[in-house]
Amino acid sequence: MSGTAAGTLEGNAWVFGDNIDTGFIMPGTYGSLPDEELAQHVMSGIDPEFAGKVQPGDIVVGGKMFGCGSSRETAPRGLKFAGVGVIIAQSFARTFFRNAISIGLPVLICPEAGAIEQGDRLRADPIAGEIENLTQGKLLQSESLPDHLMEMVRAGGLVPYLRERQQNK
Amino acid sequence: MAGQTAAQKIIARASGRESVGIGEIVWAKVDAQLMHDNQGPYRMGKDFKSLGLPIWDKNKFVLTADHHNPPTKDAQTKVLNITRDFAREQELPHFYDGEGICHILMAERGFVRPGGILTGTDSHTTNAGALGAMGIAVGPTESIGVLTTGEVWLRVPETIRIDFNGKMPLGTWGKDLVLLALKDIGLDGADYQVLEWGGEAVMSLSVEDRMTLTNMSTEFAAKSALIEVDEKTEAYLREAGVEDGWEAQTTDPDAAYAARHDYDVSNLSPQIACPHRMDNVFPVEEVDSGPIQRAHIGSCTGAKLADLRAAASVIKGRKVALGTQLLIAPASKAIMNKAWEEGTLGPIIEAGGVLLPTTCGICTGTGLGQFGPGEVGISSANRNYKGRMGSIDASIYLGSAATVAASAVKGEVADPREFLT
Ligand code: SF4
Repeated sequence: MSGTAAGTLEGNAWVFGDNIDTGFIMPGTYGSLPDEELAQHVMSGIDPEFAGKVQPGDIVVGGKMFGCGSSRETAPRGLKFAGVGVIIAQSFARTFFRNAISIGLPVLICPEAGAIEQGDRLRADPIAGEIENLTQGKLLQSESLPDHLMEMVRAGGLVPYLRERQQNK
Repeated sequence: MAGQTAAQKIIARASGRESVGIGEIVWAKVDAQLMHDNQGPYRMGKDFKSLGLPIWDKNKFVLTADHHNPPTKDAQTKVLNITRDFAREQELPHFYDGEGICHILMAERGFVRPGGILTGTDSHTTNAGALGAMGIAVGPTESIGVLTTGEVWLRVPETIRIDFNGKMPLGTWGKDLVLLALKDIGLDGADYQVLEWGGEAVMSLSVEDRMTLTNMSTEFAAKSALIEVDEKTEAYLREAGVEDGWEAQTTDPDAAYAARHDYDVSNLSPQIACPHRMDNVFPVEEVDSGPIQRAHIGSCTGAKLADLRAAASVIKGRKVALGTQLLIAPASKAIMNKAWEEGTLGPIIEAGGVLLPTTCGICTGTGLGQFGPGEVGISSANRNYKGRMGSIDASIYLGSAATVAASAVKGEVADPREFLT
């Protein structure tokens, strides 16, 4: 298990707007690159400098329908391998939400995410469904991710999770 | 306890719970898993084999070779051969190689049961809703989880209810209903939600024609789709060899829908989705396509027996216009055989239709007969964005199979009612 003992994730917020398309997150031309190289191009469709600035553990904050558009799995992969620790958004496109969890990147639905500002220090507790905005001194509610899904996320995604379960038998 | 939607009840049952709340995430047992060549062993085979785990229940797993079959490029041959090797290695009892299009095979071979959950590595897995089952699309990585455990995690969705009231007018089919709703609700208008279709007009359709609604629910970005089970559904199931072992679910009268839409179809015209969006919809009398070079009756959406019958009723005894080519790819071999025996296919071929393999073909932009640069065509399939059926510079109109047949005869997008009495 990574992060703090309580399973919280802490980092600085990178705020994006509504309808962030997977084509902005990972432009199609990079589709066949390996994971580490994907990370160098993440968000290049909307902020070409993002990949150079993002720090391990940072938090991406979106508005409505984060990850809409094509169902490419390379979009959450790029974010994960760039070091993003969690994504918080008002809502997610269905396939992005599923793909992110399958590859071990936590995603939190938070209707109040609009109140978060660029650079805010956040501490998220996916299981409790709470996001603390340390900069603004506010507590936001999110939909919680159940323990069983967080186990998968912590294992690094579905395939490593299945492997772990297999080995522990 | 507040009333539950049919989707909630299906998920509750599959997860061994009394009830489930909207937004909750639960693990559910799946009734069947579908995988096809394009999103199958070629993409997940290595990871799957690295786990060394067996398939949870081979009798509930269907693998199809339909997207790249028969191949027109070497890369497709490779994908197909990896798919076949996987079927052999795993000794799969239900591998269908060129037998038909996955969603239709699932239904006609009895893998879809009311009240069950079906996962598939294809966005149109929602098709199963016409039989009262929840069809849910998952990615190739996720399918490894289903294959090895028989379970999938689901976030319990909200439901949108769409009712079509009144009698279906002459010349209209399920396709016209779904296009009308798409115009109104829009692409992505039902993200993460279930579309529940109903009303007198929907229930008057054949089960196959209802599939057009649940199939294209994915165009609204819906997670799944459902239609109530009635005697027609039961008859369809019997023919597919499904006698029992299922329990249909319905929405409680006091359950809360996320939204409701009601339409009166009494004056409905055939509807056309114009290039290059599925929600760019107009009644046929307002569409001026100019000459068309292609007319395509095909895909899991628009080449079922009901669609072929609709097309035949328009084209019988007529001829395809000079300058237009009519392509016809029945959705499965079984459908092709029935259409041949009952005299539905003959008149379409005699009119000039060119028979293509019973697979996805140009619906995925591969296979024979792709639309070329600058060409304009109409199809009974489900998607018309640029490049979907070949060249990125082609223009695709979408309509019912009857509308496609009428258009083939006229050489431009045309109203099937002209040929029906
Ligand atoms: S026919 Fe078209 S929509 Fe249907 S499964 Fe094949 S490619 Fe997908």
